Amino acid sequence: MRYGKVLDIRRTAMRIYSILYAFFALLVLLTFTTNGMCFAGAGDIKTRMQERLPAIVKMKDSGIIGENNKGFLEFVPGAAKKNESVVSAENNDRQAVYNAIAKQQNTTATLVGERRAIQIAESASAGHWLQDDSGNWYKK
Amino acid sequence: MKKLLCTLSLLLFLISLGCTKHEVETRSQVEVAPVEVKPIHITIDVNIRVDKALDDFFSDIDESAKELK
Repeated sequence: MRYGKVLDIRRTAMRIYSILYAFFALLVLLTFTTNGMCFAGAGDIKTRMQERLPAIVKMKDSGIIGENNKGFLEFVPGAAKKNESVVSAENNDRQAVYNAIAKQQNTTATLVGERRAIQIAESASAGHWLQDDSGNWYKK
Repeated sequence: MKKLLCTLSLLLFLISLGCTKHEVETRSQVEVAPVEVKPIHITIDVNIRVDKALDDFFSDIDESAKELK
């Protein structure tokens, strides 16, 4: 009887240990798989952005679109507005990312967008259209 | 007798001086200038944190864009 009780306690302890182990394993897994994905839905947004990337690069190379000073894509003044859906979808996703980062860092989405615009301008290829701080468009 | 009285009174006087409390009060005043947190520092800090968060998110996409160029 007494031996059985000891076994019960041991079984319960093992069960608790297993649950805790599974919980921590899940936590570790989530930490590593969500690296760089700082908010819910970030993975989906990233996938969509990756899928759009070839079309966007092509449009930038053609001089149809450029990067404005707020961190969004914009049709270069005078250029034909082709693939508007791609541009607006990209901007919507960017807005979602800026909003999430702004919330996380306790700042505004506008500031996040402006910081992103600086990053984009630095890494932009020669010949791509960019907008300066004053709102003027120039070719890099 | 007079001499003895004089000596005793002098001795008493000296003893009384020894019993008194002598305190030297020193005061030092340190002026602390008011700490001024300039807004520019806060802005730089926010910018750094935002840049880091942007890098974390967009690094893969930026890499892919470079490969496409």
